[in-house]
Amino acid sequence: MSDIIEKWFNDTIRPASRVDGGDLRFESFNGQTLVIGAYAACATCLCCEKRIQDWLSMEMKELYPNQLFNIKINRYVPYYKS
Amino acid sequence: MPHQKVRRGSLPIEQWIRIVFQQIDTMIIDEVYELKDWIIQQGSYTTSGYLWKDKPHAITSGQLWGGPDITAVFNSDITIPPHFMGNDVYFSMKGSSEIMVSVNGTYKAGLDPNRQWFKLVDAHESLNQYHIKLEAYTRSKPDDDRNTDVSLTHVGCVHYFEYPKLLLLNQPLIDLKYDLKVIYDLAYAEKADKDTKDYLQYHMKNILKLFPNYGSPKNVFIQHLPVIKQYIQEKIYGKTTLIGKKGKVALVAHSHLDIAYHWKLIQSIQKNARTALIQLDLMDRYPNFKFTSSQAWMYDTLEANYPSIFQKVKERIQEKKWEIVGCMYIEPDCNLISAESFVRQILYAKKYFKQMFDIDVNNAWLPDSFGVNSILPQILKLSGVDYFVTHKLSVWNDTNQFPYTHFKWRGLDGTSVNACIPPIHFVTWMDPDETIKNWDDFQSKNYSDVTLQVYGYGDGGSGVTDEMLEIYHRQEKLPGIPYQEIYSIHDFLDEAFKNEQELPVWDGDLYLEMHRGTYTSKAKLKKYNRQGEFKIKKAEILMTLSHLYQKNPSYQSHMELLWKQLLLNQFHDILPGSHTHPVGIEAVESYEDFHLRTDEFINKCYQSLLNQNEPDTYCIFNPSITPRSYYAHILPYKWHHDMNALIDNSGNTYYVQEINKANDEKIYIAEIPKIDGLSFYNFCRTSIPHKPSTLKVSPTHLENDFYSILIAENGQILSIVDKKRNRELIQKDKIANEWIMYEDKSGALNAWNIPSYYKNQSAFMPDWCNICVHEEGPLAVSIRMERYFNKSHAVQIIRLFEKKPQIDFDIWIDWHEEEKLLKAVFPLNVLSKTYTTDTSAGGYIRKSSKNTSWEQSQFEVPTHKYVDISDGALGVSIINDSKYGCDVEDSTIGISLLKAPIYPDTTSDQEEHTFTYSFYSHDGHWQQSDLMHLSYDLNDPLILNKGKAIDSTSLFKINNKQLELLAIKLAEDCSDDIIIRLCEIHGSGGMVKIDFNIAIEEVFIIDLLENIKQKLPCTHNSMEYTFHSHEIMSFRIKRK
Repeated sequence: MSDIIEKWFNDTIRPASRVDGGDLRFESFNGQTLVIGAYAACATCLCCEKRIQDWLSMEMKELYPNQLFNIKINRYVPYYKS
Repeated sequence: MPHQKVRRGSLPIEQWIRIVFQQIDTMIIDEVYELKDWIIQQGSYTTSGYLWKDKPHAITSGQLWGGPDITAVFNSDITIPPHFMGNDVYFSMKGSSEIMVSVNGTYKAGLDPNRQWFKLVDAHESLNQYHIKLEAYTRSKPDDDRNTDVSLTHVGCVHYFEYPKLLLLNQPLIDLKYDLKVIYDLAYAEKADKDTKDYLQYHMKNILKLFPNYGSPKNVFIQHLPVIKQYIQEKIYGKTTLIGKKGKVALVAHSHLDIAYHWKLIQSIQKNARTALIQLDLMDRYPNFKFTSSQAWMYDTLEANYPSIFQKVKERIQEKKWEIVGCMYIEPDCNLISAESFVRQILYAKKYFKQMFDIDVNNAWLPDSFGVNSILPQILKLSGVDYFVTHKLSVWNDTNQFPYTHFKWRGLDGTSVNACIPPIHFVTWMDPDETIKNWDDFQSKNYSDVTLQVYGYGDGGSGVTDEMLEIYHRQEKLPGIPYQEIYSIHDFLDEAFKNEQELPVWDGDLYLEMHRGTYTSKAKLKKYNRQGEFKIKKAEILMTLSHLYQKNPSYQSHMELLWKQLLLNQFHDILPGSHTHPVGIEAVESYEDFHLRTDEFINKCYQSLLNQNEPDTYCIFNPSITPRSYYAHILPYKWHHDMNALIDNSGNTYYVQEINKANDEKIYIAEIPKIDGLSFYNFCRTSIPHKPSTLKVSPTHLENDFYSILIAENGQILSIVDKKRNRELIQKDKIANEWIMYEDKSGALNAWNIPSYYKNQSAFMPDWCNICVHEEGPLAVSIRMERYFNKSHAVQIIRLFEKKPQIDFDIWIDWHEEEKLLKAVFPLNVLSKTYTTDTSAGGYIRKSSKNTSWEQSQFEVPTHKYVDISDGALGVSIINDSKYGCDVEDSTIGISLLKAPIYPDTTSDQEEHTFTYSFYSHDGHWQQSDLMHLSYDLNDPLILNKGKAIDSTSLFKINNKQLELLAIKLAEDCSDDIIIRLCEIHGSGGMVKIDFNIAIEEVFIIDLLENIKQKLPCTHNSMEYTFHSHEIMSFRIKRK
């Protein structure tokens, strides 16, 4: 399942997140918790906490309707934003 | 306990006034009615319709919607509540999305971070039922978000749905809000003069006294309203004679629209439509409002995708309320594109504007250019363009203040064009500090009466807001701020330059002291562009010959489409690499499609020009006007390795050798004889005895008749001796072709900039390894070496040829760095105070010293095919096939090979790259050398094709080496006339004689729009023309 989730994330979510200067990268998935890294514009975006977490949970539910997932986001704020 | 500074004191009066005034903001809505019945469907917008990712479903308040790169379409049937009827009713949806609104099936309005509502229903309207459709694109970074709090609070690509609302607004309170804002902003403006500030601040305090107590209910405020308005009218407005107004500002409404940047091309089509809707609506409500918009591609795509909006724009253009500005197809980068690309940007745009609107645009509008090539003034003038406008040099230069606002810009050949660089940015919003600064910094007061201010949100469109126009009307009545008047750009330029004889002159390129990294970012796009410009030129020549010799139909319209595909990717945020990852992906796909289609087109032309039925016949076409020799390339699928030579009709044989490039690609090279310009040369295959090699090669030494190269065991080049001139070409104890990888911490403008101090720090570079002899002749010898450095891996092949006087560095790199700049550095034993860079239409001389701040700021400069240093007796050129950035200091040339930005594309350039650069030494100055021949050879090698030329004679012969060919094409008017465009590249005047091998009726000198300027004498199919230095000359040939 981890491979499927990673492929789905890399094929669908990450390219879309990069359109306007963000970047969400797959870090790990342990069967229940998806860990992603937020870079560039995503790292400092207000949206990139609860909203993105809720949205990703919704999207993953489309893939696996009977399961609940957790989302953890690691923010990598670029040096030029600190 | 250490003393700590404590700030004591009451709330400053300035802050208190702002808090009091902001109460009005909370009162301007009289009544709200939530609209609760919405159906949403989400997907991706394409020009053929939406690609849906879900089915239509109901959405309620608090539910999530949107997502990265998602467009959500909301639909609702609404009924205006009875107690709203008889009033102006506004529709509101608060958020940071970009929304196009349709009402009853017709596009009506745009909403975005800069405008939260629009008027849905007039007070007199009796209809109370409407179908509303919202197309909402969510972005994490709304770029047209300056000066608004919405973008900060509602930022993000995913939102919690809030019901849209119908609003009744309190117009008197809205008017008061604008009054107070305008007065307050000027009263506390940093740049306002003391008298103005004292006056307004005094009266601000009096206005404060007229307000009810803080927190009073709305009805109490409304009661106080007339007194406050009266005070403002009597004491503040109209007092301009008391304190005075200084200066005059021409307001030109515009919305800068990057066609790709932090969004893909497809989004810019929607942005343009939304912007147009918004500005059209403003025209309906503000009768004296005018708007300008640039880029023929934007009009073309608006017509194709939003015809109803386009029709309204067209009507407004005829009414002269909407002005077309800018003569180019898109707003291109102006450092990296060739002369002929500039010509086509203008040619196709002007053709479109003339056909569609019957309008000729006489200005070049390039506000966001990262510097401009000195060849442009001549191209503009020859295209009927008298004015040039750009912005960045005045506000973005990091070292020197550009000294002029209105001036004559003199280009490489001496042609001048009227140029304007306004003192402030091209996105402004009627802030008084901006307007005052504009006039204060206006440097042409002695001979121009008015300075330009472009207003309206942009980068991503959006444009002018109601607030800006309300502010404008109020600022007219205020002292201390310049006179402002709404202008068309046409009227402004005519007025600003009416005393043009007094204008100062700026001679040379317009170098922007910023964004120097854009010469190198996204190396792949640079390579595709360079190759593309050469390829399309060849395709057009072949098409012309095919039409001429074989009577094949003209494929003019097909050529135009190919050209436009190339031109589109020259946009100033695509080709420079200053865009997000998906934009880069799309650009690469577009380029690859362009190259595929152009190759197919070339092959089709060859099919008509060559007899490909004769087996074992081959042919080379020389697309230059001057003879070429040395070698031709043979692609593997066109060759059988059981044969090793070519033989021509005279029985001369030419050896063929296999070459293995750094990326492991195999090609063959063949010796060739001198092939005349624009002619074909036929060969057959043969086998000859192995040719012994006269070249020397070992892991530490390469030698031919021209050079002796000494290489250390670690792969570093210790010496390059020019054998013919008996000169060591490398400075003592220095290394040639040293790869230095600098730290390139450019911050937020990562893809754009290179810091001036970048040479302070470089990363450790391990030695080259696995050094071995790679090719052993007889046509070429080479050494192969590898390097693993940091996260990257490179292969370098150093190649010498039997007959070609250059050293090739054939490179493959698997590049995975972040914030690094890789350069190849050549410390040359040539003393010169100047160096020459290639503009694509001649050499441009710069100083290599760093005496002044102007010289110091040019620590990275643009170039095209070559950079050259000469001391008068000897010179060295570094030629390249895809690079555009270099630096020269104290006779050391550094070619910028790769950059590794992390923003806006976090993985920019992290991929495999292949490129070649060459080292060439020559007698005297480069004009007397073979530099142009070798530059063309590297960028557009001669290729062996299958088949025998049906007619191998050259179209024409030319007797002057100062000239280079820019284009051969059929005339745009489909008249069968041939257009030949040449340029003088050495920097000297002269005379050329052209002998045609076809029957000529008449010859004309024409402008770049192919209009006849003058008939030239032509006898016995020959013509002569006297040209001046760096002239771009176009001829129209009428055949018998």
